[in-house]
Amino acid sequence: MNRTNFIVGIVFIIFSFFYYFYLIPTQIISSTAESEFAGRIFRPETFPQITIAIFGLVSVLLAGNALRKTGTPELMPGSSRRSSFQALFVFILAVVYVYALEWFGFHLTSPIFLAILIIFFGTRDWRFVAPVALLTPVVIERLFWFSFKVMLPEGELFVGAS
Amino acid sequence: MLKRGILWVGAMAAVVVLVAAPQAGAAKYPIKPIKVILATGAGGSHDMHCRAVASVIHEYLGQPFLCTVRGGGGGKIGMTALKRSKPDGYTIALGSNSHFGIAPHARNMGFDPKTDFVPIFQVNGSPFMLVTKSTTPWKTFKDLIDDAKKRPGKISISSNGAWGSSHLGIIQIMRAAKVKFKHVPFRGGGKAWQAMYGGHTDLGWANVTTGGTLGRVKSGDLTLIATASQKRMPEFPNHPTFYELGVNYEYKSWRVFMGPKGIPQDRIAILQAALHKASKSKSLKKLIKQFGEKLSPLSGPKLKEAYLGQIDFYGKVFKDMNFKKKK
Amino acid sequence: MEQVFEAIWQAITLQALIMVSIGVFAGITVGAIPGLTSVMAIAVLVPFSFFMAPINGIPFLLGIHKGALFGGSIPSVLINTPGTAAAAATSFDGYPLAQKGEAKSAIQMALYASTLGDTFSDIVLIVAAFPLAAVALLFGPTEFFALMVMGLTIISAVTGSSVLKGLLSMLLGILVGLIGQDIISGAERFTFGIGNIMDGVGTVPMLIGLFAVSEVLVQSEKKLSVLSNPPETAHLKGGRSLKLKELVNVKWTIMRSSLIGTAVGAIPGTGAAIATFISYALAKRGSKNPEEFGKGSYEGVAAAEASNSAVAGADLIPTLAFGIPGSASAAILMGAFMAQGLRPGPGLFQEHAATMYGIFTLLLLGNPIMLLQGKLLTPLFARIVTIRQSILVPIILLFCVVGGFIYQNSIEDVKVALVFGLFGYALRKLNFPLAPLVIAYILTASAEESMKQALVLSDGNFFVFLTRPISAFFIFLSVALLGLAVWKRPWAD
Repeated sequence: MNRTNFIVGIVFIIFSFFYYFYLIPTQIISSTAESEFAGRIFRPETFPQITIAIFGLVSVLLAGNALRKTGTPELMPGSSRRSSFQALFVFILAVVYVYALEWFGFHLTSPIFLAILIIFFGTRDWRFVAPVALLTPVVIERLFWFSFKVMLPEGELFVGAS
Repeated sequence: MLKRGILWVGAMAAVVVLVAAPQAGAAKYPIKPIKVILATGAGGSHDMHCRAVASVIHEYLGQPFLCTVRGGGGGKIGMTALKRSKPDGYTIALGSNSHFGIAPHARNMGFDPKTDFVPIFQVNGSPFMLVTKSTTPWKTFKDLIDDAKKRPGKISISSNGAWGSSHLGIIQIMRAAKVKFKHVPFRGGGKAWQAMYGGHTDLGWANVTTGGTLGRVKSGDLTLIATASQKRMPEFPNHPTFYELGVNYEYKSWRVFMGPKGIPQDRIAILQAALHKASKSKSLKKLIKQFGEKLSPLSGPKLKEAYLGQIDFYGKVFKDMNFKKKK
Repeated sequence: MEQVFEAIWQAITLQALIMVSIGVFAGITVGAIPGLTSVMAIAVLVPFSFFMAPINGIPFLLGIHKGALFGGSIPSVLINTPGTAAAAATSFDGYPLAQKGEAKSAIQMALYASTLGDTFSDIVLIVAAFPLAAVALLFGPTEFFALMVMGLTIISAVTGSSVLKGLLSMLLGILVGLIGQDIISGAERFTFGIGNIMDGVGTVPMLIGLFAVSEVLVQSEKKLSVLSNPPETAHLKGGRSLKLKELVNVKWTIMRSSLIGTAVGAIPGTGAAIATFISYALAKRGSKNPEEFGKGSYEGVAAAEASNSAVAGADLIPTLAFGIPGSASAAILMGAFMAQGLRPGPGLFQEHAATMYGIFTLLLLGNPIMLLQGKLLTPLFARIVTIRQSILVPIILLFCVVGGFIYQNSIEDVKVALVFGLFGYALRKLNFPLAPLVIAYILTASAEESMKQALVLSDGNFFVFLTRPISAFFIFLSVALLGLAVWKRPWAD
C-alpha cells in the first residue's frame, strides 16, 4: 500500500474531527446570540461545517485508495535525514530571525542572518560572504526608504531617542 | 576578483552610511517624520485625505507625514498599533468614526477609545446619506416607510457590513418607524453602493464622494431620502435629517487625527498649530474641494467633547438594541 | 475630430513621456519584488501627482499600474513566487520553464503577452467604456457567485495527477479562506484572537509563504555541493530569446485571454486573479497541447499574463464611467483623478475631453514603453538564475521577510508567511498541488458572501442562480467545463 498517502489520509481524518468538534464551536465568535437572518445557511458555522465534512470524506477516500494501491510507494524522492535537517534548520533560523528583528532591528540582525545562511549552504569564503551579507540589507533598506518611505523594524531595544 | 573588490568597497561604504546615520539629538520636535496610521486600509477617503494633508504639511510642520496603511480587522489592527505606540508625538493616526465610535461597542477591539486615545485635530466629516436610484418609486422618507409597512421585509437596503455604521442606520430606522427591511451586508461601502446602483438592492448608503453621489443627486440620477447629519447638509438644504424624521441616527465619515494617550501637551499643540495653518492653505483647500468635500478644522475642548459624544451616542444605540457583546 | 487630434498631439510632450516611463519602470520594479504591491506604490506616489499637471501626473500613476502587472510575472517565473495574486497563474508554467533554463524566453513571453493584453483593454477602455460599464453593473451578488463558481472549476484544470489530492488542496484553500470576519453575520472565524488575520490571512504574506518560503525550504534540501556551485543551467545565461514564431503560435490564446481579462476586469469587485484563472482554464481547454500546461507551456504563460494585464486597462472602466473602483489600485487612481478635478461619470469625457484624450494617448503609449523597458530589463532579471543558490536562496528569504513586513507594516504578517511556508513545504513534500489551494483561497470569501447576499435578496430561493440569465450562463458553463474535465480524466492517483 502507499504508506505516505495512507498516513496523510488518517491524519486528515483526525484533523477533520478536531476541526468539526473543537475548532468550529470555539473559534467562531458571534456578537449576538441570534443573527437576524433566519436559516441554517446564513450561520457562520455552516460553510466551515460543509467544507470540513467534504474534506473528511475525501480523506477517507484517499486513505482507502492508498490501502488498495500496490507497488512502490512514491515517497518524496531524494529525501533523507540530511535534506530534511537542512530544511528544518533554515526554517528555525528564519523564525529566530523574525523574533530577533523585533528586538534588535533590521540592520543588526539581517547581516548575521544572511551570513549564517550563506555559510551553511556551503559558500565559506568569508571574503565573499561578508560583503554580500553586509551590503544586501543596506541596499534593500535604502531602496525601500527612498522609494516608499517604509521603515523597517528598528528594534524595541533601540527605539529610544525622541 | 574584481567582483569581490567591488563588493568590498560597497560593504565598507554601507558600514559608513550606517554609522554616520544622523543621531537624534535634543532638537525641537518634530525632528523626524511623523507616522500617520491609516486603520481604514488603502484607497479609501481616509487614505486620500491623509495624503492630501501630507502633501502640504511639510511646510508648516518642518517634517512630513508618512501615511502608513495598516488596515484590517475593522480597524483593530491599526488602532491597537496606535494604542501600543510610543506617545512621543511621532505616531498618530487618521481615525475613523466607525473604528473608535462604533466598533468598540460591537466587539472587543482591544482598546478603549475614551481612555486610550486623544483626538488632536478634525479634518472634516461627511455624513452618510440614504439614497436610492431615481427609478424606484420612493421620493421621500414617508413614501418609503408607507411602502415598507405594506410589504414588510421586501425592500432591501445594502450596508457596509454586519453591525457596521450603515447597518446601525438601518436598525434605527426600523425601530423608529416600526417597519422591517431586508438588510444585505457587503464587504465595504463601495460594494454596497455598487449593489444599489446596479439595481440589485433597493437602497444604499453613501457620503458625498461615494460613487460621485453628490453629482448624482443633483443631477437627479439618485434620490436622496434623508441625511444622517446633525443639521441639514449645506449641499442639500431641502432634504431632511434623520433626526427631523424621528430616527435617532447620525453618522459621518469622520477624519480625525488622533494620538495615543500620553503625548506631551506641547507636542499636541505644535501639531494642532501646523494643521490649522495647513487647513488655510489654498492648495489643500483646492484638493479637498476636488474630492467633493470641505475642510472643517477643529481642535481643543470642542473636539474632545464631540469625540466623547460620538462614542457615547453609539454606545447608547447598541444598548437600546440589547446588543450582547461577546468577549 | 480636429480637437481630438489636437489634444493627442499636445499630450505627447517629452515631459509626459518621461513621466510615463518612470512610472512604468517603478511599476515593473514594484511588481518584481514580492511583498510590494502596486497599491502601495500608487498610494505613496499619488501625492506627487496632485501638483503635477494631469497630463503628467495621471499617466505616471497609470504607468505604475501597468508595469506592476507585468513585473509580477518576474518573480513568478524566477522564484515561483507570484508578486501579486494575479501573477499566480504565471508561475504554473513560468517556473518550470525557468527550471529548464528558459527563464529569459519565459519572461519575454510574459512581456509580450502583457503588452498585447494591456493594449487591447486600453483600446476597449477608450472606445467602449460606458456601455461596458453599464453591462458590468448588471453583475450583482447572484452573478458574482456564478462567476466565482466558474473560477473554482478551473481548479480541475490544475490538479495535476491526483484528483483526490487536488480536491483536498482546494478544500484546504477554502478552510484558509474562511479565516477572518464573516461579513454577513459579523462573526469572527478562526482568528484565534490574532488581530492581523481578522480580515483573512492576507493574500500577500500567504503567497510569499506558500510559494517563496516553501520554495526556499525545498531548495534548502539540496546537497551543499549543489548549492554552493553555480547552477547547471548557468551557462545558458538565463536562457534564449523568444522566437517570433513562438509568439505567433499563441496569438489566439493571447487574443482570447485579453478578451476575458478585459471583460472580467471591467466588473468591479472581481480581481485580476479570477480573470487570470478563467483565462488559464479556458486556454488549457482550447489548447492543442493541454498536457503541457503546468509543466512549462508558453501558451500557459501567455494566457495568464495577457489576461492579468488586460485587467489593468479594464479596471479603469467602471472607475471612470461610474466612480466605482474595481480594485484598491483603481480606488487610489480615482482619488488621483478627482484631485485633478476629473470627476468620474458621464460628464468626464464631455467636460474634459482634451485632457482625457491626452491621458488615453499616454496610456496607450505606455505599452510600447513597457515593452522597451521590459526587453532591456529581462536579460538582467533572467541572469538571476545564474547566481549560485547558496547566495540566492538566503537573499530570497530576506526578501520574503522584508516583503511580508512591508505589506502592512507588521511583523505578524511575516510570521504568517513563515507558517504558510512550512505548510507549503509539507504539502509539496507530500505531492499536493498548491495551485488549487491558492485559487480556492482567493475565491472563497467572495463566493460565500455573494451566495449569502443573493439568498437574502431572493428570500432563500436557491433557484435564483439559475433563473437570472447571466448567472445561469456562468453556472451552465461551469458545469460543462467540469463535466468535460471529469469525463476526460481517470481518477488515477
